[in-house]
Amino acid sequence: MTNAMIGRGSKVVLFILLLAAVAVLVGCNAVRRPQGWSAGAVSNDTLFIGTMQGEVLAVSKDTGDTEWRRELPTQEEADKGLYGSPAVTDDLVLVGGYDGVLYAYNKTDGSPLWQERLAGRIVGGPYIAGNLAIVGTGAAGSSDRSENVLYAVDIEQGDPIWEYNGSGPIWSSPVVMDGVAYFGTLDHRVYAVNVDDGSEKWSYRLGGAVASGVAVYEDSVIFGGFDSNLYALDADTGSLKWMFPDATRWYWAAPLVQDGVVYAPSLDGVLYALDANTGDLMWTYATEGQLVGTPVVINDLVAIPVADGDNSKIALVEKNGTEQAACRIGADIRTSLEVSGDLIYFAATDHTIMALRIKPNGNPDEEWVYKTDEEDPHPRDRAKAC
Amino acid sequence: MEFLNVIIDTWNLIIIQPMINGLVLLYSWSFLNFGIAIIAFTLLVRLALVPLTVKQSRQIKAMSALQPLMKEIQERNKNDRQKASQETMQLYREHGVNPLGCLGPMFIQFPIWIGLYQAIIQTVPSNPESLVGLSRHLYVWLPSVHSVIPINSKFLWMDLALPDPTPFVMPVLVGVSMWVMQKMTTMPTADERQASTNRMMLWMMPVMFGFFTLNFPSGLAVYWVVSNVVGVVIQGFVTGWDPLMNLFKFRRGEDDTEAAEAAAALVPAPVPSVEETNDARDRDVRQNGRRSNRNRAKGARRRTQRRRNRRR
Repeated sequence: MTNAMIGRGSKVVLFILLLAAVAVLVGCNAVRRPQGWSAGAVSNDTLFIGTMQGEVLAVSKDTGDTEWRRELPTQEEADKGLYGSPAVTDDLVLVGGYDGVLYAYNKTDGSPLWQERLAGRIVGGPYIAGNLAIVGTGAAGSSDRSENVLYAVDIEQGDPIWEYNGSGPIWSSPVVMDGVAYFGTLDHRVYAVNVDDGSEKWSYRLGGAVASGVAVYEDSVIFGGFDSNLYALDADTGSLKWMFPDATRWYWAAPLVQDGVVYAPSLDGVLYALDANTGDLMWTYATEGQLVGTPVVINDLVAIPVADGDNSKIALVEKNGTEQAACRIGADIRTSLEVSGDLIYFAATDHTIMALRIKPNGNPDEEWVYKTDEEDPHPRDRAKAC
Repeated sequence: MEFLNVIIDTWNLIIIQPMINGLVLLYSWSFLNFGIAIIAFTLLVRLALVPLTVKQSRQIKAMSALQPLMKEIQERNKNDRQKASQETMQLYREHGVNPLGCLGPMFIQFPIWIGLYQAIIQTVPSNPESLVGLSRHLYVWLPSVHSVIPINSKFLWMDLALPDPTPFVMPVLVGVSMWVMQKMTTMPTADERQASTNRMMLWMMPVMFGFFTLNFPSGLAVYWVVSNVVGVVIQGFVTGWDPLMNLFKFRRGEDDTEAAEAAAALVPAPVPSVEETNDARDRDVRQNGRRSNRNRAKGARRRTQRRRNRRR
């Protein structure tokens, strides 16, 4: 082995290593592009949902047939993404883009009505309160107060009526109850703001960021944080009513409260069922994956999306924590579920939008699938998931 | 697929998770400034790798010192490549040089560098997906790392999660620092083809990484600049600052020829014949079987020098 040979050998090795580094780096970079995980919203016979291609899609809720499809005008790849669920009124569909623009479309034909650029990125979906759309903005890790704003926008014209400058990014979808908007921020706070004038009613500081939406039940505001605690605050005063500390990882999804029970999904893969009045644990349902979306109750079962790569599924859980049935999807499900009648709707990261019919005996049956990245969105040669 | 998943899980467990938690912990200790955390983390990692880096630098230096001898061997055995190869290997043995010794430390460091890239990218949340992904990697038993998430990625004029907005400052800094680093670590050679490869690498790497910087998060650029500066300093202290000093002499000419001349100056004796070094080695082994290869080579050179002085 001569010096020249060794030299050439080492250069070849170096070149291979360099190529490997490039491959890894490119791979890492690809991960950083926003994909979006818009949940659906059903109105009349139509499901409205955002796609991973950055489009707003309206399909028949029963057949999945396309009614209309509109691509957001965003050009930058880094800005394409829809996270929150669309908000639907009698006439229009509102979606908040990751590009920081609130878009309004005609509900019937999808024609654009107006768009309003807001100060920061929109992650939580808008909430319709009367003739106002309440929506928050902000980029992760941004301490720039000018980007972290809660807006009330006139839904007819798209003009901002008032703004509330939060101290941190608002990724939580606001919930309005009795004239008060409740939302969390990534700077460890939950706020109550009067919808009439945008004035602050109270704020509560906790030990971690709040990305999840909140649930308002009777006189309680219930939410989870990155400190792995679930909180119930007095909706009127913001004082702590109870706290549940058993989760081992963050809460990302908004909890569901129904019939006095809080269903709180955590990124530790566990669905916690608690007494809404006391915070006492009733039962748990544990999975190997992450619970990123909010569950629904259907046919007296709790349907919960589990993001676990190839083992991702929609699990149907009895109200004692026992899994009765599941439908394996094969791609991560990060969206919250939408329910209409005995159908549940969700999107998966393999560009599919799916409707499952939950039979009276609790077994799921795939009703239709819409492939958003294919010319024919209803491929006929595809095997049913369940 | 199962096997691949096991590899990914192991990689995450051993490399990525400790690095991510270390970075976040440093962030919580450095006034919630992620730029400072990256700089501190890069320094710590490079400090931990100093023994390997020093070993690599010494191997490079030793290889440099042998260049005149190797040139002599090649010229002497122009028509017999096999003999040239044998004599070269013998020369390496005599002087305690492992020709692949430069690669060993690099192989060990490489996974660490890749891991660090991934850790920085995954720690800085640029979108909701990356933030959800980050939660998997944070230690449950370390609550302080959860309380500072999401990380504030602003540093100087940059958002460390995004490319440099200027957009030339960081690419230029990365390119220049990498060029200097390459200049310091390129092994001088008498072989024209290898010298040509060296010249190509000297420019290719900085240009390539400068180009990466245009598209990658500026947090990585900060890491590259700091890492290169630290690498240059370590290399300078171990093998000397000559390559860097030569840059300021404004002399024209072949870089590698100059370097080879400089390397030749490190070798005190004229070129010994292979037979002579064989004799020296045999005597040396008899006298002190436990002496290291390096000391053996030094001894051989000293004895060869004395023999020549006597002849004069």
